[in-house]
Amino acid sequence: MSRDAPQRGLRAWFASPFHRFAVALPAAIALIVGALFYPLFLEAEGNIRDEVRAAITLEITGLDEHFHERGLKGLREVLQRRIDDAADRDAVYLLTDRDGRASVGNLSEWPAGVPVSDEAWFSIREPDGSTLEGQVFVLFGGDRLLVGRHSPLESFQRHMSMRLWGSAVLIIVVAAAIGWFFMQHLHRRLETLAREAARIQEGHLAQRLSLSARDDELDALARRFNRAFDEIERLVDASRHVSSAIAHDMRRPLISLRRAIDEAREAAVADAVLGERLEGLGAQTDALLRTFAALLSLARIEAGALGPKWQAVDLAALAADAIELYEPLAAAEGRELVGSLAPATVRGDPDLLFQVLQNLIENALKHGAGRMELSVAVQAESVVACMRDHGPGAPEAALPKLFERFFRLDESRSAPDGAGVGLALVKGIVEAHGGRVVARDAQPGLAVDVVLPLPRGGGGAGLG
Amino acid sequence: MKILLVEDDPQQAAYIRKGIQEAGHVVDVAADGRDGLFLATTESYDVLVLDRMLPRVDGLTVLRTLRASNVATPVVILSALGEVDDRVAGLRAGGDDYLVKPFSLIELVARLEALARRGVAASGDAAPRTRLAVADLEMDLLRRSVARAGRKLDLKPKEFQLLEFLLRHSDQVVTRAMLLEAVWNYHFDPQTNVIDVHISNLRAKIDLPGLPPLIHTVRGAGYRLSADVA
Repeated sequence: MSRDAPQRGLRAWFASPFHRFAVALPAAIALIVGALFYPLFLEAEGNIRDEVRAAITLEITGLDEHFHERGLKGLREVLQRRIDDAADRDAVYLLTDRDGRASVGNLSEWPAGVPVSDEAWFSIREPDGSTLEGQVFVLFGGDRLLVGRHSPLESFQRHMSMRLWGSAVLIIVVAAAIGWFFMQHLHRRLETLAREAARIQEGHLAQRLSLSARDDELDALARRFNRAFDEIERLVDASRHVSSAIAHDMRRPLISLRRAIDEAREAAVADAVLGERLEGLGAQTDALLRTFAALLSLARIEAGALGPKWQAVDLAALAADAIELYEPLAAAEGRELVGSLAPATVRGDPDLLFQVLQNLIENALKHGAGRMELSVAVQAESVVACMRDHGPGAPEAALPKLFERFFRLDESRSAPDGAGVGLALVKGIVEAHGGRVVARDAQPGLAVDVVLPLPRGGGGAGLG
Repeated sequence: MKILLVEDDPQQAAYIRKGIQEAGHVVDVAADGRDGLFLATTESYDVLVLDRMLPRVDGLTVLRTLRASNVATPVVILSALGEVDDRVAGLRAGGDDYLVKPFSLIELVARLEALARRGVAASGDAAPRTRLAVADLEMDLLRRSVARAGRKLDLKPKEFQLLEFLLRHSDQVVTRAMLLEAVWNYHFDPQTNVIDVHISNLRAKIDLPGLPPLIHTVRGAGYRLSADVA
């Protein structure tokens, strides 16, 4: 197990994309440079060899002329002169008799490894490491002539490899340095982002990821995340608001329920009275349950958990149903509920859309006064349902607040069943359907507009 | 009436069981889908009450398995608020009724009794009924006419539907939510006394002065159409 540890460490080190990049970049550059320069190197090497041989051939041609004109003696003189001049330090000559005894030359003896055969090229490595290239001639009578040159190949190779290795090291060092610098920079930014994300995780929901001035890909990503965090913060705030609102709003009815239970328990009440009290307790509990249910379905709608039950719905038909359902109740309370309905098709959940209309009517019944008018019409790109009453309406400043949960125009009034959630539910459902709600002063009375988008590819309007 | 309740929450199960027993019925309780499936296929029940979210085998799978093995016992599906309330999926899987928690026990018992009776009617005579009657109240479904004590009554279409539902469930408690579903086809708990007004309008036409009243209000529950005053 312990043997695995360093490997794991190394593997872990390589798991970081930065480390891998920091190693891979210089390695790749070195590889590319090597692949480009090695053939060049080989070519240069070949050129040098060819040049040396050309120089030797030229020299032999000169010597050959002397030999033809003046024989072996002339050849000896020329060789001796050339050696004495020492004009060409690289040139090597050796003339020997048939047994290899030197007569003229700047070599003391026939070098080992050089074959004795006419016009044979040779290339040997000398004890000092340099290369000797040359050609051998066997003359008439068995005398041997060796003409050669110390090749610059070896020094070229030494120089070249030194330079190549030097530049490889330089490339690797420079690339690693640049890579390291770049990675450090990235690393720092990522660490900052990680730190900020950790703060959010700790519950600082207002914390956001910082952006650099460059507006690069990382910033784009951070902005993306920030938008997600905005939404999360909004949702968390909303649910905090709901839970504290529930806590606040449920307190009073729960306390009065508790008191009513205590009273009901008191001794010596007639059965009829007890029954009545229990009835009242049941009604109070039902009201609480209904408020809870409304809050829960509102939360579900706002969370976007709408079922896949959308279909084409004629809002006017829904409104006609709603009016028909509520008309007797309105009449019983001495109110008038009338409709002005033009066919208007929207896409949505019929149960939820019916709840919208139902809540609008109930709101007008409970909080409004006078005649109630529910209208449905197609206007431009949308379907508008408007619920209007002829009561006192609401002050300008309170209009947008009407759709907040538990908002009441009159704070001192206690909540009837489900109170304060109806219009919030309307807003939640309508927004889940891609629409919006507007409350306005109808002078007199309050008008609430529900604006839903027309389904694409066809108007909902038909002949009224 | 013998009822199987499949519910994993012991507190809920005890509460529902007590409620059903108090209404005079026998209840077996299964705590998970597998036990529920076993009991439902081996014993004979009048109605099943099935929670949607169950350990081991979930409610809809239990229901589909039962229907696939030709168990036709009526089923009420219970679903918790907060879960995706997909009534359509529940009914498509073979459910006969669908209740969203929290519901009142009265509501559940009323629906159970309605379902049990429907089960009996379906297994009995197959011919559709064309006449409904309670005491001297008669409804002719073909002519769409209603008469009380021989006197023809003039009802609006919705009043006719309301009365038809009450007649089909005579001597049973019918809740407001059941009426809203049956007559208006919308699924939610009516928050106000909106149904009550319709009933009182209907009552004004049916329970003529001098005749014994037939539509009775059951406090905290709903209505019952019956010749007996109870």
